[in-house]
Amino acid sequence: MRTTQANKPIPGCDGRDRPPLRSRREFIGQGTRTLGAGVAALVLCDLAELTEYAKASGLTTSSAEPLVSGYDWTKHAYVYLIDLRKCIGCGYCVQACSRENDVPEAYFRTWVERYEVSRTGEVRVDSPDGGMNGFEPVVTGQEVTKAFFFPKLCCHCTNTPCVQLCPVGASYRTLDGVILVDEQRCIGCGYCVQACPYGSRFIHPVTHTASKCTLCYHRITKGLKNACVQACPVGARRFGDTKRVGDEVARIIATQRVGVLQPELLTEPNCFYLGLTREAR
Amino acid sequence: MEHTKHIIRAVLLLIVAAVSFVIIRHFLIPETFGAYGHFRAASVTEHAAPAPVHGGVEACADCHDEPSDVWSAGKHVTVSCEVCHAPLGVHVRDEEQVAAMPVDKTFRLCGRCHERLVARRTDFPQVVLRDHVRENGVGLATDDEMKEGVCLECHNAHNPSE
Amino acid sequence: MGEHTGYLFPNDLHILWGLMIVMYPYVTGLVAGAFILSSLYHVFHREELRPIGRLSLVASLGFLVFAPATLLLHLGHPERSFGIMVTPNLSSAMAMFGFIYAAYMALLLFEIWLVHREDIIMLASRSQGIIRTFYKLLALGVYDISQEAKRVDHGVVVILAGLGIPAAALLHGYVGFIFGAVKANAWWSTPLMPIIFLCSAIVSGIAMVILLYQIGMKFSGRKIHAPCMQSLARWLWMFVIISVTLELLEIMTLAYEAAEEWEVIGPLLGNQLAFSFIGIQLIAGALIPIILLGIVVLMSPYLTDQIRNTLCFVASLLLLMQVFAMRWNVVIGGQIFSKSLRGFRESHMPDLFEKEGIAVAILIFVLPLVFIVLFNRILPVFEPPDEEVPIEGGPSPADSE
Repeated sequence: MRTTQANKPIPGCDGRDRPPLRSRREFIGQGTRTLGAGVAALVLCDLAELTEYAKASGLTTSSAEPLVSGYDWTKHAYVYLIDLRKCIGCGYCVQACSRENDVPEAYFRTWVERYEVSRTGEVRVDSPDGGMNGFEPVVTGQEVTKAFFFPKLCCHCTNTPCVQLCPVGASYRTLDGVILVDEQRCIGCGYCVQACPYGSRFIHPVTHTASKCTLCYHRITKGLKNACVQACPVGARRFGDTKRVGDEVARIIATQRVGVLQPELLTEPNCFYLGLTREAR
Repeated sequence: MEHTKHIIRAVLLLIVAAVSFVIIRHFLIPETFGAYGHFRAASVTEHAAPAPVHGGVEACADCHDEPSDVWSAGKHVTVSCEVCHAPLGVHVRDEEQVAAMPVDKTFRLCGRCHERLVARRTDFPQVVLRDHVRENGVGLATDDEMKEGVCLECHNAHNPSE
Repeated sequence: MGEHTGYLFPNDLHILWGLMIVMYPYVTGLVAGAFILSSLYHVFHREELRPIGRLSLVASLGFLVFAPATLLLHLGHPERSFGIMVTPNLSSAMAMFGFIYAAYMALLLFEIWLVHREDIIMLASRSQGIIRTFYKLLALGVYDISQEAKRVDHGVVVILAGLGIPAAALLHGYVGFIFGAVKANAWWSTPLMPIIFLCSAIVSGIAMVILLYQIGMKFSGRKIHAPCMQSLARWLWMFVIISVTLELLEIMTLAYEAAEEWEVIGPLLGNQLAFSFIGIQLIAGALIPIILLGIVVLMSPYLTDQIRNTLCFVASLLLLMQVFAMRWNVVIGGQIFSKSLRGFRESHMPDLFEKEGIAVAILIFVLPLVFIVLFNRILPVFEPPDEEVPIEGGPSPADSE
C-alpha cells in the first residue's frame, strides 16, 4: 500500500484494530460526567417547578395570585340555557356577539338556524349570514307544519374533543367551565375545528388561530352578562352558574326536561335546550 | 463486545441529541404553563382583559332618563337599548360622547322582529307588514313600496303601544 | 368557493384541510411503505429483494425529509410549530408527530448508516481533501470493517429494521388515527382508518420502489433482476387486495347499516367523489392494477422479463395515483359534507400557485426523488452488479451484463 501524503491509509482499513488514544477516552469520560451533572441540575429545576405548580393549584397552603383580579374562578361553573320555544329569529344575538367580540365577517361565534318541517317530514334548514340580519320569509311550496328557530353556539362541553385533540395545549378548559383558546400558542392546525361536532369553531382569517365563543369571558368575569344574552329581546338565551345559590337557570336544568345536541357523543355539553326536537342536529 | 466502537459512538451521538432536546425544551416552556392544567395560565388573564363594548341599559338611563322611563313602562322593556341602537362604545367612551348614537328608523328594523315568519312562534306579535300598513290606512309611497319610516307614524318605538 | 347544496353550518363553508393535508399522509405513506418493504429484506431475509434493500431505505429517507414541509405550509403559525414538542398535549394524536418523527428519523439514519458503512469507509480511503474529511466524519472516525464488525453491523441492522417496522407503522398509523378518532366526522370516524392507511401506504411504498428500481436500472444500463421484480409484484398484489378490501368493507358496512351518516356519505361517493372514488380509486387505480399484477403473479412462467417489467411499471404508476386518490377522498371527502349532515360543498379544487397549491405539491413530490439521486452520488443506492446473489432457478448475474 502506498502511503503518500494524499493517500494515507485509514487506520483499521487493513482489518486490524488500533487502540484508541488515552486522551480521547479521558475526554469522553469527562464529558459524560459533565453531562450527568447537567441532567441532574435539570431534574432539580423541574422538581422546583413542580412545587410551584403545587402551590398555584392550591394543593399547598399558600395561595397564588388570582389570574383575573377581583374574580375567583373556582366559585363559578357556567351553564347556558336556550329556550327554543321563545326564540323569534331576530338575530340580534348574532349581531351583538359580532360587535362585542369583533368577529370577522362570514364567520360566526354564534348563529341562528331556521327549521321548516313539512307534513311529510322533510326538513328545510337555513341560516342566512348566520341570522346576523334576521330572516326573510321564504316560499318553499311545501306545507310547513312545524317550524322554529335554533340558536347555536359553542357548548363548552365538559368532555370536549377540541381540548382533547389540541396538540399544543392552546385549547383548554378554565376552572369555571369555559373553553378558551390561547391565541399566542395556537399553531392554526385546525384540528379542533374538525373535532367540534357542533361546528362552533373557525380559523380566524386575520390571526390564523382558532376562534370561537368565549361566553364573553371579558364580561362575565366583571359581573356583566354575555352580549348575546343581554341582547335577546325575548329571553330565549339565558346564562347561569351552577355554583351560585338560587340560580334560576341551574334550577331549570336540574328540574325540567332539557336536552343537548348530539348526546350520544358524550361530549357533555353545558349548553342546554328547552323544547329540543328530533330534527335538530 | 470488541468491534462495537462505531455503534457506541453512534448511540452516544443520539443520546447527546436527546439530552440537548430535553435541555432546550426546558427553556422554551412558557412561564405560566401547567399551573392549572395543560395550558398557559396567562391566557386566561388575556381573555378577561378587553373592555366590554356593550354597556347595558343602566348606562343609557344615566343620561337618557326620559326615553328610558317610556321604555321601561312598555312591552319593549325586554329589548336592550343597544339592540336597536348600537353598542355603548360607539356613542360614549370614558364618560364622554364620541359620536351620535345611530338608529335605524325604517320599517326594516321593526320588521326584523315583527314581520310575519312561519317559523316565528304564534304568540309573538307579528304582522305581514304590507297588509298591516294597508289595513291601517297609512300611506304607501308607491303601490308596492312602503314608506321608510311608516311604522313610526303610529307607534312609539320605545313603547309601541303608546 | 363553489356551490353549496343543502344546509351547511355557517362555519362549515370552507374546506380547512386542503391539498397539503392530502400530501402529508401520502408522503408519510411512502416513507412507511418503503421502509416496511426494506424490512422484508433486512429482517425477514427475503434474499430476492436484495437489489432494492438500500434503495427502499433511501427512498424512505428522501420522503421523510420533506414530509414536514406539507404541514408547515398548512399551519396558520408554522413558527410556533415547535410547540408540539415543547408542550405536547399527550391526549392528542397530532402532538405525537414531533416525537415519532424524530425517533423514526434517528432509527432510519442509523440503519442507513450501518448498511452503507463499508462504502463510507472505502470512499473515505479513496478520496482526497474535503471529500475525504466528509467521509471520515460520516464514519464517525471508526474505520473497522472486519468480519466481526460487519457481523455486529448486521445484527444491529436486523434489530433496527425490526424495531423500524412498528416505528414506521406508528409514523403512518398515527395519521390514520388522527382521522379515525374524530367522532365529529362521520366519514373519518372508524377504527379501520389506521390500518387502511397503513395498508395503502405499503402499496404506495412498494409501487414507488418498483418505479425507482426500474428507472434506476434503465439509467445505469443494468438489467432488472427478475426474481426481485416478481417478488415485489407478489407483495404489491397482496397488499393492494388487502387495502381495497378494507376500504370497500368500510363502505359496505356503512351502506348496510344505513345509519344517519349514510345519508351524506352515499351521495358523497356517488356525486362529488364519483370520479376520484369510483373512477380512480376503484377502477383505474385498483381493478386494473389487480388484473395486471395478477397476470404477473399467476402467469409468471409465460412472461418475458420485458412484459413483467412493463406490467409492474404500469401497475405501479396506477397504484401511486390510486393511493393519492384514496388520501384525497378521505381528507377532502370528509370535508365536502357539512357537520349538519344536511349539505354539501362543491368539490375542492386547489389553485396552481397558492401556498397549499398544486405547484407546491408537485415540488414536494419531486424533491425526494432529487434527494435520492443526490444521495446516490454520495453513497451508492444500488448494490454493485457483481455482488448480486444468484437465486436458485433464476437467471444468474453472469447472464445479465
